[in-house]
Amino acid sequence: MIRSFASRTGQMLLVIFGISVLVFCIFFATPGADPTARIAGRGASPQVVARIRAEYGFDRPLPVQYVTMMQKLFVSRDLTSFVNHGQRVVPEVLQAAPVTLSLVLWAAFFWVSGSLVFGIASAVLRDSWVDRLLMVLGLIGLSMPVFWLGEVVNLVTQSRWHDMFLFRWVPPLGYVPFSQSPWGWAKALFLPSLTLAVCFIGLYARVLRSELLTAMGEDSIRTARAKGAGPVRVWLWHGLRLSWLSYVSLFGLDFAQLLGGGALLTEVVFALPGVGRLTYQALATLDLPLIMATVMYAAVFVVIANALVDGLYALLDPRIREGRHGR
Amino acid sequence: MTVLLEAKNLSKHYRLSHGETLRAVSDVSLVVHCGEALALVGESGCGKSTLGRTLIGLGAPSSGEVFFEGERISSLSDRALRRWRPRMQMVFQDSSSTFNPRRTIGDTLAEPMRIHGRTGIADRIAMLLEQVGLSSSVLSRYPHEFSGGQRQRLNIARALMLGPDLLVADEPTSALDVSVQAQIVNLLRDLRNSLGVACVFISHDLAVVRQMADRIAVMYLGRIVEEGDVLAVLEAPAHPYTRALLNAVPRPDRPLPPSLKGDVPSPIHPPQGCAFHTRCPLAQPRCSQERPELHRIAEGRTVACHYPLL
Amino acid sequence: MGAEVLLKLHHLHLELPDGTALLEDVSLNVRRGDALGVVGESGSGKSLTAMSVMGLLPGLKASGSIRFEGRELLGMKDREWRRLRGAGMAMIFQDPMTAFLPVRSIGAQIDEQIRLHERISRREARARTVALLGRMGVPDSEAAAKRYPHQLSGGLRQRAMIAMALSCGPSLLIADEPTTALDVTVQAQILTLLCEIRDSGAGVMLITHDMGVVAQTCTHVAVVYSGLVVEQGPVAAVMARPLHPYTQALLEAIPPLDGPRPDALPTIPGRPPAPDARPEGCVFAPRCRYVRSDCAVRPALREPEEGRRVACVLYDA
Repeated sequence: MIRSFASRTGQMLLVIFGISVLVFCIFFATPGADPTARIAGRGASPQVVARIRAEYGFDRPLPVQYVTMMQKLFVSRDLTSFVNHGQRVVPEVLQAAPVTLSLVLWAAFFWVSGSLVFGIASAVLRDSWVDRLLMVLGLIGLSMPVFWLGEVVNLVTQSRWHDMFLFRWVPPLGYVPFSQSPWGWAKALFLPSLTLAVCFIGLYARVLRSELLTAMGEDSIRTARAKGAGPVRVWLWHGLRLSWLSYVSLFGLDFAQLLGGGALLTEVVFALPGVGRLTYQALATLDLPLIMATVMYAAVFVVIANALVDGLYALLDPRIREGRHGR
Repeated sequence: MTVLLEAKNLSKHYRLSHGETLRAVSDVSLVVHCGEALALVGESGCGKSTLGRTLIGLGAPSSGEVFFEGERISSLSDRALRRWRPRMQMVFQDSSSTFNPRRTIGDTLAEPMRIHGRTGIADRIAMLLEQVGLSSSVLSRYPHEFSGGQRQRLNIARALMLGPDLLVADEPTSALDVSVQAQIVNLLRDLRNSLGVACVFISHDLAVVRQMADRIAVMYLGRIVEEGDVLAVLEAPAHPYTRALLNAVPRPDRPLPPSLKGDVPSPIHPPQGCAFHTRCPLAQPRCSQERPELHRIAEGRTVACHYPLL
Repeated sequence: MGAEVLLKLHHLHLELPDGTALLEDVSLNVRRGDALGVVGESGSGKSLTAMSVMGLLPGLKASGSIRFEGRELLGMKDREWRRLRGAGMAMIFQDPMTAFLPVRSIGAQIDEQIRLHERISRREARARTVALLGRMGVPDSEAAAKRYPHQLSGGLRQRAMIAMALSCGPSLLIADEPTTALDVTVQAQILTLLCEIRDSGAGVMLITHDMGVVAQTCTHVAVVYSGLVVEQGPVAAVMARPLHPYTQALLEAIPPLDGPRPDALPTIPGRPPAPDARPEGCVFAPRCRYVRSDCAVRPALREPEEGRRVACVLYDA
């Protein structure tokens, strides 16, 4: 147990190291591109350029540059953005992280509960009009671009019908920290997270439906019915137990990539100062240190989430716990 | 009789993820003569399928050697082995997965000939189809259009396309119903008589084996425990395991016998001494310490038991 | 003979929604303390017969009659039928590996069945589970109950399956090819166990393709061919002198284990008809060696001898 945990941690560190090298190479070791000028930003004075070159060690060999970069990113955390006039990027990312985390948590809550309801309903009522309707709705949700949906939601709730009783509660765009007002926090995140969840509900309901229907054909489900279990128990207790795996792995990946900045469009549309919006700004201004920081932050999250999903897998399926599958 | 295939001290071990070793086949030596049918018999996990595959070069052995017509084939590369492939063919249990569902039967049957650059494909196919009892109208059809028995006939025809000298058949009848099984057993017997091809039958069904084979090798946990003429061995088994296996076959003409206790032990942790001693009704203290070697007890009969029944 | 009839199928007919008949006419009885072997080849409808007794075939239309302990099951409300499943009648399946839920321990799954039918605490249920596993010959049953299906050998899994089936003391046990996935030496153990269950007074219905298994464990046999019962009777009599040509052919097709080795095994030409292409008359006629003109009318199941029934024109008085 301890050994496998240690080896797992080692693997994670290795992956993060690999990503960091890759990202570093793309941004700083691309031939013909001078990273100094990019970090300094357009129209920087020669003194600034010289200072940056010395600080980041761009006059020294690549491995040293890499170590310097990582040291600034993870140890001293004083990587500075010059585009943004001396803003330290690591605290900036850390400040944005809770916003994204709140948004994604809410969205995950909506899409898991929504897809469970829709997925189970359409599997139970398969081939009926309810099933078809739900699947068409899911497909619509899946194919609606989130930025468009977000703008429509904004249009409806912020200006058009804001004064209608239905949307009077909707707060202006932006974020309210939980510590300031839990109720305001929930209100501010409700519509953005719902918007973000819409496409996932469609996708996840479809996955769950097909997995459930496959599971219901399994021998063990027949056994459950032969035992005298009722339909509710057979579907929810036995069927779900068998169809969780792909749902959970999909969830882990999506959750991680959203935390890592995948909610960019939602954050931009709803003016939420999260990691995605930060990345967006960094890309718009070609702010190299900030890009570096957000990408590494995303990588760490994806890797951690992956490890958690694997752990959850092992909890759900004893066969995986023993490192073998099936017979 | 000339020796066609010979295995010397053949072992096949698999490394498992936990640093354990699965000893599928341990130290097996056997001989298949030209035109002879040898049956490998045993319960699941005894290594009979692994042995069958290793014999014809599907997977290199962990140690030991295989000779085909006196030439060592066990250490050859896949490329060098290609020359020998047409002479050794395999028939699998599950005939439905042997055929590509999207290709016609004719296409699948012609493929081995094409690969090896043979000519006269159409004539050969027509001849073989007749031999396995099917009409040439099957050629344009797809695998799913056939019953299990017909597919197994096609499977046999496919294996015979290149005119092999050795056919390894892994449980060729166990997925079939009794009435169809009898047809395939008869067919294999006829083909063997008319073509003179040597066969290795891998099976768990002693009645089927008795009908099809000349010699039998009984395996338990990766080793041969008894070997000899099939009629003689089944008439009077020398190894307690062979006797137990024979007694356990459910027959319409006799009552349910007392059964062996326990399950087959795992081939990852085989018992010390004689591997069968944990279930043997006749086990003595010596059996748990000292592994019995295969020794001759009569003309053409060998057994690995300290206290054989003969 | 005089024992109480536990299960009585009378002209059971089962069809797909499109009207294709899967079972044409199945009539058979299981008495307490009897084991009825239902023998047939794949596609004959032997498993369907078992499943329809359990009521596990939603979407298929059944007619005729299934009486269990004097109650008519066809037309029964699903809620009532459910109360019988697992308690009054229980079923074990061919492959105990897939029949158990792979992600829960054996013990939890047996506990579940007990608690579905009886209001007892978890602890009491587990105590009964462990006792049952022990009675079924599972060594160290308390630890075994905590293990997952893939951690047990095939034989132990099937023992656990039987323990689960017996957990609520059913009066009828249906076993669908219970030993097909097992090795021969383990098969013999499981068959012995089934014989003990039969002797303890329950009725057993054993679905199998293996005449040898029927002969060694059952008291009665019903031979099914293409959705119909073609012969029925006490095992010893049927094995010694099969009446129906199909039963005769089935028995002859088994290769002998002793005596002279025949050059060729007797075979049955052709193959069973598909459910939508059954002959008008006797379903076996196209493959039968005694076929004659009056086979064009489907023969009814008659009783030419005391206790034996056969559907063949050869025995028309």
